[in-house]
Amino acid sequence: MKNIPQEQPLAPVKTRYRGIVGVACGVLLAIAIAQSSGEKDLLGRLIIADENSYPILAKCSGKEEKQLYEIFGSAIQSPFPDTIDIWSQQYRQQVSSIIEEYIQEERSINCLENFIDHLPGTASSQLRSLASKLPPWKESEDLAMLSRIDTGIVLLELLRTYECALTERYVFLFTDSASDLFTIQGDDVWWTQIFKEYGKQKRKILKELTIARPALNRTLAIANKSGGLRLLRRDIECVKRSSIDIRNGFALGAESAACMPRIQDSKAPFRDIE
Amino acid sequence: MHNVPKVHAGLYDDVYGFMLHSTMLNEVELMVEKFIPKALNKEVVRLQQKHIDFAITENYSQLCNPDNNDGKFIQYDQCVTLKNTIIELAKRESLIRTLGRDLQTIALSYESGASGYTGEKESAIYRDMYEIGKIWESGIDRMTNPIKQPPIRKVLFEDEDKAEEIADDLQTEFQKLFEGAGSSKSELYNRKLYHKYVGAGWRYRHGVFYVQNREGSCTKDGEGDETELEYIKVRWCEIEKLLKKARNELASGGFDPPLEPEEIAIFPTQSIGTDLYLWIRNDDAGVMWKNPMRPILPGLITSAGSVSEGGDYPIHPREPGEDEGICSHSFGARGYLCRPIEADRCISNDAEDFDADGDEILLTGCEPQNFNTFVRMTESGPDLCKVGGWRTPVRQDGDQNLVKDTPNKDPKMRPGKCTNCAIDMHCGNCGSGAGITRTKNDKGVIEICIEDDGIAAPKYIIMHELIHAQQLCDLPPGSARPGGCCSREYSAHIISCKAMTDDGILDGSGIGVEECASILSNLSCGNWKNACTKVDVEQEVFDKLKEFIKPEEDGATCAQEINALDPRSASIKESSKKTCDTNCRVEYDNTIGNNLCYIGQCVEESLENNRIIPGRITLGAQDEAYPWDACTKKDPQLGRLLELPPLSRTFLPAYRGQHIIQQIDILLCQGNALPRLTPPILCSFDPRRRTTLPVRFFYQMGTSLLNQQGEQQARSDALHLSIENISARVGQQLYNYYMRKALREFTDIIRAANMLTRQLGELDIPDSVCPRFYNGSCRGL
Repeated sequence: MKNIPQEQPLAPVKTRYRGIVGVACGVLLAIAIAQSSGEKDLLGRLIIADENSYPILAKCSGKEEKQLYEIFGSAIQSPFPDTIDIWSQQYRQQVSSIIEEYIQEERSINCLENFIDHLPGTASSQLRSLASKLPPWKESEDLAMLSRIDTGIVLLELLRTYECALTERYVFLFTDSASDLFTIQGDDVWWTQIFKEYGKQKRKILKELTIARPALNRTLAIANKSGGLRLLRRDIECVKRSSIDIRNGFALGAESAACMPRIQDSKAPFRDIE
Repeated sequence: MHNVPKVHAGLYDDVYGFMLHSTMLNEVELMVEKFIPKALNKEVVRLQQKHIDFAITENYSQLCNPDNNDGKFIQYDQCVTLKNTIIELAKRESLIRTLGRDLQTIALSYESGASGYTGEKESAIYRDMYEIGKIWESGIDRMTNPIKQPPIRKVLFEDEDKAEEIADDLQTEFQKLFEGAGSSKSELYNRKLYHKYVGAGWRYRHGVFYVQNREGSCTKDGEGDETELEYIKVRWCEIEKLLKKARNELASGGFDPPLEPEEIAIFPTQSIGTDLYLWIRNDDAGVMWKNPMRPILPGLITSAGSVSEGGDYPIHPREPGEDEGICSHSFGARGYLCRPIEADRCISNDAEDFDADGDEILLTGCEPQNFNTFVRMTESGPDLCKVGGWRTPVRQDGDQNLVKDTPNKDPKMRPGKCTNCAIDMHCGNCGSGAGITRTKNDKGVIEICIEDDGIAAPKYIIMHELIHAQQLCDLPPGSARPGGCCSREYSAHIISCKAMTDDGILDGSGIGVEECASILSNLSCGNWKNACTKVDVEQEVFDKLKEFIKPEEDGATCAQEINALDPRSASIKESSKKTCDTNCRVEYDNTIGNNLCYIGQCVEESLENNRIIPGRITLGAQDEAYPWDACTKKDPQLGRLLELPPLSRTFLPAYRGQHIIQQIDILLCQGNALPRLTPPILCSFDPRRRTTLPVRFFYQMGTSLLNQQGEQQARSDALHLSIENISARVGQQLYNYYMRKALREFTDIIRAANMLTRQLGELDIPDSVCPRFYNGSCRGL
């Protein structure tokens, strides 16, 4: 890894280069993407996914790249190793740790507590931390309603942000990769270097756009099974405990029932002790 | 143990890796990378592993660089051809491997935690369900439940260190199965070949003795038949040795109390690295995946190191039988796939709209016969828990001097204080082919004659006849048993048949408890074919049943059985005694069912033998003995609108996979305004759509035709995205269908119980007892 000044923020540099030329290049690239059959599938798929009417999973707004900076924090202040590597690594770590936490065994079960996964406030600290950086849960009231069962939807929202940010970067990739190089090397940049960097990042973006969604979908399918069973497991454990209570209650009832014949076989009024 | 290789990197990372390999965007998986150079050995260059990733990333400068090809210069067109050849082969192999993993992922997402493998993480659910059942069930339930449920016991290791030691040794053996090193793949778990590891991880999922009993001892360590599916069958001798050691040294005996017949003892699982765990039962030991995400994929490189070229469809592995595979596991055996469903629970007998027309997959097997439902008749009241055994034998204080039952006639035997009858069993030739129970004589004794060479072992005939004795015990001497022959016999046979099933006598016969009881009821009532059943019993089934239940030549004799009664028979005998007498001791296992049996019998005995409203000792001859009867309040009519649901049985609906696929085909074709075509690809391009509806300009015609493919693609994509949702809904529908009946009836029962409890709570109970002197008034009562 090259030694670069850590303080240089990436966004202002990008803004500087996103002039008319950048827009023109972006439009040309977008047309090129639309005409490329393999990439068309990707975009087509994204557009269909964004048509989902669920308000949390909205369309790309153009602000997702900025949001991703906020979610992943300072770790992406440096352009090298390139932004896509850092994004993908951070994204993978976030998803992986939240999923592992979600499927983890619950250590102790308290049957007297109203702790049920779908109740507000049951989200883990990691999940809350991530959700608080995503638009649907930025308001404190919304965040307070977040529950453990929302894990899937929060991760899908992160995925949407990630995909939108990648797509946005893809559109402006030529200028962005050039700006990255200018930031690092000053004016001593060759055209071949720009094209090489552009090609490298383009492949990575396409890879992430191809893999991220099906990987998360499959993961959630498996994790939800485990999550669903956990609810059942807790219920069954509580039924078992209450069964023991019921058994003890009936055992006391049986002890009392032993007196029944004597109580009721009262032919003589001996019970009147007044 | 931190730096050992593993295949499970975390759920998301695993799935991400699968997707990466399926798309081949920057690398192929190591196995494919090793396979291609061996398979394509006649190319212009001597292919090496490093060439494969160069090809799929279209890195021509590296792929055809002389430095990477023994200094050989390669023409550009040759380079392109080489790249295409590599990509083509890599794509095909990746597709197959992705398909295998996807199928495994789908199965995992639906079946994980519900499959019933021993030691499965979520098996806590089965275990708890089983324990809940044990807390609730009465002894009678256990004796009459038509489903065979061998008892399961949780046992802890006496020597836990030894268990850990064996697990560590196993881990060492498993680690030896990783192959290859030094690859520069980006994914950690793609840097070694793990096909042998995966094969061994699955091989002993049903246990080492399970494998050895079917395939013999291990002789060829790690050697296969060099087919694509060889790793399903390869044996691993060192692993087998350790597994046998685990079972033999940790779980072979010393259980206190001793295990019942067919009882299973399950020990805690031991972790083998991060991927596997060791499970141990008293009868076997095996290994299973903690997270079974990786299937055994069709082999590319054989165990001998050669290339598996494929091209043939390998012979399918044999489908496991009813007691094999997952059904060999204690919890799995209770699943619907592992036992036939009684006929009246089967789809074919239900007036629903399912019919087995070939388009359906029936997930259940049916018992062949459809039998009458037998109704038990009693002399008075429900006689709760009066058929079967729920009490444990106890020598009561009041019955110390009773004559002990011997295999001979005991003429001095008399009922004790706590019994309404004495049961005198004796062995001999009874002339009935099994046994006979006579009515209670004047002395209160019921004689039972047992034959040594009856239709079944004396143990089961004793159980059967003891039930008949129970039916007679509380009746006056000389009274016949209430009810018709079939209801009397069925009650007795269901208990002996259940005992035979529990003891494994009927294993492999395919005859269930209820079917056995019905056939034997026919036999007892005069006509083995149809005395009690709606349909005729087939001769073949009857003969098979007789063959299975016939007594063993060296089995226990009648005399031995009477002298040492089977615990179940002893419990039945004990349960025929009076329950709610303060001078008699009663012992039973503390379960909800048994407590209810006790309370219920006390209530019955109180109501049947005593008055609820007291009387008085009269002074004059004409005085009223029960003056307070007139003070009885109006009957509150508790539960007057109580409707208890019939115990109809739920069943699994058919899975109509073909029908669902056809519906999706219809959707696909409708999306393109075409009728259903099979295969649906036929809907993808039909020039008639445009040629029969021409537009004004030729260039528009051309554009429209060209766009047609794209339109179809977009709709197919949309449908593709929806299929998962459609499938989920279909699955949900099946589940709802299955649960609807059961839940509705359960809800009705809970509602009825709730109503009764509430009404009891609202009951106005008088706070004063009947006065000593009757003053002619009901005031204050």
